[in-house]
Amino acid sequence: MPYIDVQGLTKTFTVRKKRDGHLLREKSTVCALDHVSFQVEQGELLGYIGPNGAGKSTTVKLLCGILTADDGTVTVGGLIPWQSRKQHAQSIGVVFGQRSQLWWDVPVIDSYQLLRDIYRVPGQKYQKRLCELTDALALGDFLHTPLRLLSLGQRMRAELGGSLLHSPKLLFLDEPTIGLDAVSKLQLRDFLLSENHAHGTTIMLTTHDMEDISALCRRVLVLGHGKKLFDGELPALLARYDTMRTLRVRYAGEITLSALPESVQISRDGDFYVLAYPQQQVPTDHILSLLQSAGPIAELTLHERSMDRMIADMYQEMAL
Amino acid sequence: MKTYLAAFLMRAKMETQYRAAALSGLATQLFFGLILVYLYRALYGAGADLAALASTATYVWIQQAFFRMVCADDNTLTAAIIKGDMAYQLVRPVDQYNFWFARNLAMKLVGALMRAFPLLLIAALLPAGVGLSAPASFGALMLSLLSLLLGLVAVTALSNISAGLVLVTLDNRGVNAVITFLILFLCGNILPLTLFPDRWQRFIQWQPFAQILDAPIRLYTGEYALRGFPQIALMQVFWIVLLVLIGRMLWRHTLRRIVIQGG
Repeated sequence: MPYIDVQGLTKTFTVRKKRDGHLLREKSTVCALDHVSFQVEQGELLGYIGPNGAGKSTTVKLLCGILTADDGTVTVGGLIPWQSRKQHAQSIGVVFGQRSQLWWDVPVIDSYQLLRDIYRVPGQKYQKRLCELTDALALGDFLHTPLRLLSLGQRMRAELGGSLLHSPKLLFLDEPTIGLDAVSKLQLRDFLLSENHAHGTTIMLTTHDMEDISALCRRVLVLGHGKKLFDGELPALLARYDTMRTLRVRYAGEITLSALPESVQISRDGDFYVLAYPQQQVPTDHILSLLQSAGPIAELTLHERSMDRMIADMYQEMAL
Repeated sequence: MKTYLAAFLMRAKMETQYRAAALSGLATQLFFGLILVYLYRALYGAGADLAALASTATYVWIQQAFFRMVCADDNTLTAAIIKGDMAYQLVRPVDQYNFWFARNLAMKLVGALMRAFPLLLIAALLPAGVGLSAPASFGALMLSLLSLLLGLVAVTALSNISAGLVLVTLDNRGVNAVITFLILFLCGNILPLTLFPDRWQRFIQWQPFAQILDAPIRLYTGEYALRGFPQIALMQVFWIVLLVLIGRMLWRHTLRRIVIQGG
């Protein structure tokens, strides 16, 4: 039996709108999740993506037990989250990137001690875990500083540490790298990978940062308008949208480019010719030989499409 | 239990950090206390009974000293509800009601003690009829402290109900305005309950608000005889049980249908 089992999960919200010139509010319902099903095995690293408002956070909240489903079933480790909220809470960790769980006016370590007591982590285990997290997340410098004095990056690391103190079996990360610099981001990814390897922690990552996803997750789940649109390996998803290549070329001296296939789009950027072509129809070596025959090449670069572009195309194609 | 004790201690420690707030609270309460005391002296007029004056002044000072216990709530809860950090709170393996009860209790206790000690000391140094009088007897002091402890629990239960209502309305201002007014008026902060007409008093004394601070003060001044204590304590416990039950029901019902909005 899979660790997380979601079947036909449905959740609707009632939204009240105030219309101009009307005293009464208008009620309408929004379907945040529409019969979504998926399974996650223990120790899996799952990327959960989709445009804003797709229902990602709603899924996470349902899996945490904060919300109650309207229809469908969810079990996590055999428990229904919203029915066994307390018992379930003991084995999960959550990072909501835009919210704070540590107390504002007290040192980080005090908040950690409260979390230790909340999760009833035995003293020795807590000490060991604290050392581990302090090393991995470089918390040493500010463990005794009140939260309000920390920088955003430090705070995010402290928040993450707080979510992992009780060694949860399942970790939900909702935008965990918001506002982090490149170094902190890389550190965080390494840390999450090692957490996954060393403890077999199941991780479900929700983010708009595609680099996070590609660095951490083999499997991605795409959600749009409350429906599941894709569930599979990231490379397979990208291959569908990774069709165009761009080539920039500069010649020593003036030449005329001619006899290129029709599907190649040519534009100029200063001295450079910029060629965009569908890789499957026009093989790159064919283009290269054509370019070489036109004259002496001074400089040439080949570009892949950026992942963000591909994702944007994907969202567009799925009419999101 | 250890969890809730930890939450209590954490909030207590936090409260001790707000020393400037305690100092300005002290100044405010001193100011209001003096105004009220002289207002009642003026109302009594010349030739008033000194014992009545002293008793009213004592009433006013104890009310002022425990103002924070009666009227302030743990604002981190309402902030968490409004900002949505409540989401984190809800994924904790704790009983939500008890957790916030412990925090609220800590804030009210420590916050009040930090202000009450210096204020009562100053009030005790003022001349008789203006300042705080000594308790009726040693026994009266002890029983009033015991009763004050029950009052603290009662007011915390009341404050947890208003927090539960904030969970519903998502804004603390409306709810707090109503509840704060009720508390201020009916617990004797604005006008000592001893000065209400007799008929009103009989009604007001049965209210939960009178259990917070009015009963302990009357034990202190000797207006309530010591042998009446069991009855007073029973009334306080009755309201505590009822308020806790109402609060727990409200929280359970609300948390079941809560929605954490946005992101």
